[in-house]
Amino acid sequence: MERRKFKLGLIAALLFLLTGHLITSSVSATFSGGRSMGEPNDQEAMDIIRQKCLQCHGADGMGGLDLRTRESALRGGGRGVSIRPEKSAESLLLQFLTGKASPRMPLGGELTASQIEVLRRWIDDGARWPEETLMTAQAPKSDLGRSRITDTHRQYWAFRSPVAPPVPVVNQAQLVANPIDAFLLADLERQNLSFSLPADRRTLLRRVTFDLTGLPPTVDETDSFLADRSPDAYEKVVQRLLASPRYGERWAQHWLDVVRFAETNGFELDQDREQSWRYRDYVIRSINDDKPYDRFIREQLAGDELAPDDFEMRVATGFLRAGPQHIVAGNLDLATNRQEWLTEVMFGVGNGIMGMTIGCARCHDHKFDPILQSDFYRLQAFFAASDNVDYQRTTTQDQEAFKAAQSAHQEKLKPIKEQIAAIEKPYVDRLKAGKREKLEQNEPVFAAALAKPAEQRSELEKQQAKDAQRMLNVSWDEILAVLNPADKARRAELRQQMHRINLFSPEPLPKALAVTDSLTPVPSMHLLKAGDPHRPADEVRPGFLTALLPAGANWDAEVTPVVNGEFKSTGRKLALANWLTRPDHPLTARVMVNRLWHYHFGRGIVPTPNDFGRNGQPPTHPALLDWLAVDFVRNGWSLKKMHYLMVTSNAYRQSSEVDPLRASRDPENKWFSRMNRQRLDAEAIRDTTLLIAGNLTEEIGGASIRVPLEPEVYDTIFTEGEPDNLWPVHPDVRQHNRRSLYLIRKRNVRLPMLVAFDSPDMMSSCGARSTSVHALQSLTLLNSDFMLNQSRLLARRLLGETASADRSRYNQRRAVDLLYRLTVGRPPRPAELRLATQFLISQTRVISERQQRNEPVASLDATSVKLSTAEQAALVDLCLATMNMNEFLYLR
Amino acid sequence: MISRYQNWMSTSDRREFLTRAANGFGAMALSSLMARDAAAAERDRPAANLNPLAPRQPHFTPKAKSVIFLFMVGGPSQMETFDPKPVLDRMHGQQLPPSFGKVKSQFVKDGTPLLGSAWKFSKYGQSGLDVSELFPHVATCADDLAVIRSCYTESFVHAPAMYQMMSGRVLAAHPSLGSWVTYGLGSESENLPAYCVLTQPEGLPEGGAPMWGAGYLPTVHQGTVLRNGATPILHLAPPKEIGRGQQRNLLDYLRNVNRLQSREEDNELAARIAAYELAYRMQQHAPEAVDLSRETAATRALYGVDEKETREFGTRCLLARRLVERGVRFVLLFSGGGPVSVQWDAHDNIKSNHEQMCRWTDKPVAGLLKDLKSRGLLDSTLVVWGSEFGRTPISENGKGRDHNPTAFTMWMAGGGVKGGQIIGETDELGFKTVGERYHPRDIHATMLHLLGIDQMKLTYLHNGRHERLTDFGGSVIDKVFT
Repeated sequence: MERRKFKLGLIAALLFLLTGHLITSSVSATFSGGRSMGEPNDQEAMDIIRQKCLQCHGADGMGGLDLRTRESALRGGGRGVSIRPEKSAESLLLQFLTGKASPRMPLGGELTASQIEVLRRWIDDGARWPEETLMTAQAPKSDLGRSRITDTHRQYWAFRSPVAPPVPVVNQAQLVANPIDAFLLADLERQNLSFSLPADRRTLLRRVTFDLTGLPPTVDETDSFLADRSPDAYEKVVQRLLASPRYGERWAQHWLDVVRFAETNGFELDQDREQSWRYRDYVIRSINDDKPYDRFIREQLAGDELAPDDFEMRVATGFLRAGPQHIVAGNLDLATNRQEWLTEVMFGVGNGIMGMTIGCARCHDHKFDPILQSDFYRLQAFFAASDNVDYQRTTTQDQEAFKAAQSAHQEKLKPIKEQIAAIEKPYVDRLKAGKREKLEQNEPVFAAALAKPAEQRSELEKQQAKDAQRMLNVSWDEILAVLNPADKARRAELRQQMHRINLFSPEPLPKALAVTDSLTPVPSMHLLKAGDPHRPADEVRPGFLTALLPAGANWDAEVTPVVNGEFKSTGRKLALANWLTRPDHPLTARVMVNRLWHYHFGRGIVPTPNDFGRNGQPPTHPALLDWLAVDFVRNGWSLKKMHYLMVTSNAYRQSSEVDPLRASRDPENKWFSRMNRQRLDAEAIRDTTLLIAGNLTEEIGGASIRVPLEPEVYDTIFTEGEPDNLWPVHPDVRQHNRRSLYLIRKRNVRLPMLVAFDSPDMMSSCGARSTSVHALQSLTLLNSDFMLNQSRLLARRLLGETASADRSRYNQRRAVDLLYRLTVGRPPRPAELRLATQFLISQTRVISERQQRNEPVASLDATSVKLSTAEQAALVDLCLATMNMNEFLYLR
Repeated sequence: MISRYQNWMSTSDRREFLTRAANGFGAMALSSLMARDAAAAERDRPAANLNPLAPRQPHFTPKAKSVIFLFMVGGPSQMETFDPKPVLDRMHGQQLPPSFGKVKSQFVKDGTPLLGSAWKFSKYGQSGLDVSELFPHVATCADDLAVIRSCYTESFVHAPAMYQMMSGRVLAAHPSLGSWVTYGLGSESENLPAYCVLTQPEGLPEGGAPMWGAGYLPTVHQGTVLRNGATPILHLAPPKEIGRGQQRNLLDYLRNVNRLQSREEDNELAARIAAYELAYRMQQHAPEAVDLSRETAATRALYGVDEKETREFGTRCLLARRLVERGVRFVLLFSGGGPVSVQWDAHDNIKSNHEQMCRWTDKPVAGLLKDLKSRGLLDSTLVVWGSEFGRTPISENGKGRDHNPTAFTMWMAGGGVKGGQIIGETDELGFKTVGERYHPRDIHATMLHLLGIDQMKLTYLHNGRHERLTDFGGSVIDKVFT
């Protein structure tokens, strides 16, 4: 016993060193089920279990396994029976300990071979157990892990407030346009490198125009920039672009990626969130207005508490409802649903604003970063009283007008519905009669119950009558199956009529999909074991990340309730928002300037924009990042000023060409010794195609648009109902040519072209899109109706703009020239012109041959230029090929 | 853009690559060139490869090369198919004894009476495997099946349970099994999508597209739904206004222009050039793959392709074999989808529902197993039959059964599986598992193992976490193959 006590004490001391916990344990020496008391091997087995297993498989019962008593241990957990006495080989426990089952246990610390042998013998001897419950080898978690966060954690670079370092002095001072260049050059000079030569003006203009607006420069814009020899010609362009409403559209897209905004709930039902587009418009407006970023964040977290009567501020809180939400029918588990929403909120705040993977701490302390599990729930506690509450501010007049419009609409539908019902009636009657007959024949008990007057039915009969009623139900697919072809066609036509009328259903009254404090009294917030809402542990109060608080600071946040007339709120969301937007917050500004850098330069200073933690990548230029963060805050959190600074740096204006020196010294372009080439993203490809074809409808904002959908994709819309109106296409075809930002963002139904070019799935925050290359992209760009149609329109445009005065012919050379200027922002080189001309000749020949075989060819109806159909079709093909060119898809 | 493509090929490789890209590849298999370096590339950084679907070496010698997952949408009943429960039949109409615990399901409440099975079971094959009379054809393959009777999932709602069966998690947005497999192994087929999905023509399962989604893996790994007809893949055929020769001429022009504009050591641009050639070949080969006209009458008869009841599912089973034969890595084949009447979701009447669903699928499934076997493909093709959950022993709406995630049956065949055996058991009423039970994670771990993949090594860094299909680890079910 003496020796054992010593050993325990030693382990206790060790564990204390490791975890900061003091071990309290009591050991009973009485064993049950055994031959003799206290077999040494049994005692050792107990020690091992106590020391190595109970931390998780004690009171916490991780995986459903509780090893404190023999009974609960034999019962096992979620993975099955853990111990089969006398059969160690069949005991799951041993399989986990030896790594035969995974994960190998104990997590993060395997047992020695001799320890495993002890347990093997113990099981084969019958797995004897102390009579009493084994006590957990764990201190009460009274401090919720708080003491585990030390100064070392607080010193992590991203957790210290940024301080602007002095701008370095560099040798090549002539290359410094602003401090960004100085920071970059300081590192480059250490590597005996320097910036690349400046990009040519055309390339630069195309780059910055796409970068700031998501669209290419027009031919005129290019020409006037080339003609402007004033020293600030470029700066003027940047100012013009930042003032363009297209800028807000472009950068809203980036923010919507980060907050994984979509207009449906996701998951199987994927229901629409009516009017969720208002949040998208709010983001566009905010960015175009250069709303200070700190204000932008405060509004999205706590717009209701800032200005409760301001509709726009309510819309802003849609940020908290942007993520997917799991809603299904049946026996719902409300606690789980609510916790899922709260978890999504934490993902939004964590990834989006703080650039930390806080979600990892939902089930356990973060494995890589000093984020406690309790931190997750303390942050979540800022939303303890909050819920999804739609906000409407309408007058009685509005409501009455809407009601009137609705009943007028129903009136229009009524005759059609009646006709449909009339067609269906004889079939339904027949089906019902058949079912009734079958019921009476096959299920007399149920039929009898149904036949009985309701008030005379017994409990059982009540159920049987209900079941019988259900057996008589006729579903839409049963009706469809028996309709004769004429009735079927007529019915389908009527339904189409109905759907067409529904396209013009009355505009709903404006509402904001908002979040506000509506739960009273405020529900207490608990740490949840393994993230399970049915296993609450200690209660927590609202508080910020422990590692971001100074040692000894108040662990609970100070919260002031908000009272504003009728409006009352806990003030918790505002407290969180205010903390996040403190000028000295270590993360918020750094994360945002890094996002801007990522989009401008193609790679963030922290290359993982959503993860500033240890599992992300460290900053390549920490001093520059800090300087930018401080500068951002100093300039009133102005995004436009930060854009301006970045894109007017010489670093940004470099060429992206890779020369041998840079290829060998800086292969990954870690030091920004050149500009990174970037591929256009999915939306830019589609928008640009529309623009250069002269076909883009430029309107800002409004309800989202459904454009025609490939039948293959239509078929993937889930429904158990009749699948004939799942994708009501917008009745105005001009609306189909809006920027991609305005197309409805349905989580389960995405445009194939956007998917092919890596548009994110909107299920989790996307800080950096991937750039894949695969054959399905080629198929989309070559074969889709969309591309063929736009190629046709582009060909017509070329003809129209290069036609001779009498419009009898067009200038082929000028057409090719214009095509290149539109698609890649430069005139063709002689070799390219030659290739294009040859192609037009050979392709015209191929197409003529097809015409002779009476095969269909593309034609440009309504062109006034005289051109054979084959020549027209060849020009269409040239346009299509050009929009498949690498140079079209990439920004140099 | 993160220059993930640099440092991948040596300069001489790049020259060869580009020259060949320029020559339209001819007989050269692009993927074999890719494969040469793929083996050397670090497994954790798949993006280092230009063609994300190039075949990759498994972690150890695989038993199976490809997978056909037969997913029975809605939850077939275990006690009506592979798990006979004579006690349940005897207790028909009685209440569930309290000792069995409470029923937690989506619609029924405790208190509805037990429902016995309407079908008889017999023992089949040398192994004497129990199969119900609903599956007379599948029964003749008894010695090929490893029947796992103690499967479970964690949700009694369709979609979450489906997500769990396909991705290990009840929430959507995680990569599906097939995506992980193509991510890990690439594809043997140059001309077809690596991961094909064949859905019920009437509609989708409730879980919808996330069931074959790539989640946070690159989108190229998501399943491709094949349509009926000659153009099974989206945008596969050129518009009718653009003929084949015309398109070839267009592609030649495009290749020449692209060459003019790219430097030869530029891997990403070279990959784009190659992607167009792959696309062109896919246009030629995919229609051939789905063209069943050259199948013999005997083969068609095996699947019941020319019989009314089995035509639809038989056609898709035959298609699955043709895809696997052509190197497709993973085929996900659904029985059921769309209206409830076309699913295994027998809430109202287990008898009429299962009679219909079994009539549609029994012969085709058996035909698939036999056809694969006679072609020597069964050894390398893992066939899995299963669903998101099973059904309750108590009745719903009188004659139906509700969802039961606490016990259901799956089976595996081919691809290294030891057939003619039963693994796991359920209680006397088929309500809950008894003893060792198997989570989708365990099924996944086992499938990966048969494919030569170590579940712990197949990871993808997402959001600061090395994600795995079998998060927290599943256990390989050794009995399946030993």
